[in-house]
Amino acid sequence: MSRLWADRLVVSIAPDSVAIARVRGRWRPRLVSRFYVQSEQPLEALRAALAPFGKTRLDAAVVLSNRFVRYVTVPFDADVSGAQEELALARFHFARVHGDRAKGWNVRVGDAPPGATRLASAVDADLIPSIRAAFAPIPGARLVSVQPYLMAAYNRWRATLAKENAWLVLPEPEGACLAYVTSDGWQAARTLRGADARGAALGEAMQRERVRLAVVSRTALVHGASTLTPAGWAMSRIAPARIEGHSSTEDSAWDMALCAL
Amino acid sequence: MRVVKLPRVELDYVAAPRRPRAAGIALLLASLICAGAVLERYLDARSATEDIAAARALLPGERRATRQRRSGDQMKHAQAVVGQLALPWAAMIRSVEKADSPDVALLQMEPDPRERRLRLMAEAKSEQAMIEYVRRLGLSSNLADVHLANHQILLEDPKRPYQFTALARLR
Repeated sequence: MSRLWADRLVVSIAPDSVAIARVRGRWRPRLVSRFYVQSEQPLEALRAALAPFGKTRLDAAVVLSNRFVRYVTVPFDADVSGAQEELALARFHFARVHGDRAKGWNVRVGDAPPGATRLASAVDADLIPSIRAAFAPIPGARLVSVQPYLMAAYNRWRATLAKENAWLVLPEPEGACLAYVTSDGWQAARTLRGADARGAALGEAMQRERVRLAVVSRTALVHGASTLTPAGWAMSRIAPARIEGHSSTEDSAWDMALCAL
Repeated sequence: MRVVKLPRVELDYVAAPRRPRAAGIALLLASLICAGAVLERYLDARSATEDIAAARALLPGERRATRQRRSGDQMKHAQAVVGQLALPWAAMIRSVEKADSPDVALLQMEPDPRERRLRLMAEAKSEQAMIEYVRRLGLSSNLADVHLANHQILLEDPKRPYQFTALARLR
């Protein structure tokens, strides 16, 4: 059987785990194989998991756990123009929040309509080269994307977020990300870690953000398996991508990776 | 309440950001519309040609002569087409383009495949521009014997342009 396109490999990398799913087909994707491992050395685990693919032709997309990523909202500044100045402004805001350690970060700034607040992300400088190095020994694999979890989930469900005027909540085992976007741009993009990212503490963090930004909406869309039910909020679970051979309700470990489809 | 459209966010560390495709799609649509218009004109012209041929075939007493005349005309036409195709079009156009100047507007280009000559009609802002244009044409390796055949000053035009004809032999 001839295939016009290579199979896709979608990978999620978190500080303590790696999930990989091989998917075939563009219009009706189906799961070919999958792999999940918990490891304190996720990049080593990724390298080992990729080895069997050898010369198999694959397009690989990686989704980074929000625990690897810092976000900052960058208010519109009419005096700033061009990509370099926008990047410098984002770096300034990261430094304002995180201090000198932000200097070496690898920063990306998203586009936004004129006047709207942008979203910027930052990762450690050596993270992307390390991911590229993990794929380098696999001659058939073409790394086509490395994107933060927030970017993947937001782009996939932005129509629903707009329709519901909802917050986006991305819970992870030891972290969570809250985001709220309007026609004026990114109003909130916060990552929480540890105890602040679970259960009642997460619900309180959501409420604090809502009050801080004076946002009326108490509707939240939650991606992935979660029992989050903060008082006074309407929580809906976002259905992950339908993949033949994969059940999201039973196999939520791959939800983050499958956002990249 | 009107639902807003939230734009994509591009924070990828490997893939280039996706850019709006509206301009490309608009260009594609415009091209398709133009292609459709050209196709429609071609079909109309072909239909008209067939109608004329059918009408002529119905004229009494002319059918046999028409066939012979048609085959003779067709042969001459075919020979003319072959002659046109044999012209070094690309080289001719390159030579004319190289001589181009903002002070000279090319009005007409008439190649003569039988004599292997090229006639150019153009309009220049000044006598100097006209002479310079003919001189640059003469520098082309694809043209020989380039000369000014005639010229006139258009007095009715307040800018008094020089309208001229240049001739050249195709190498």
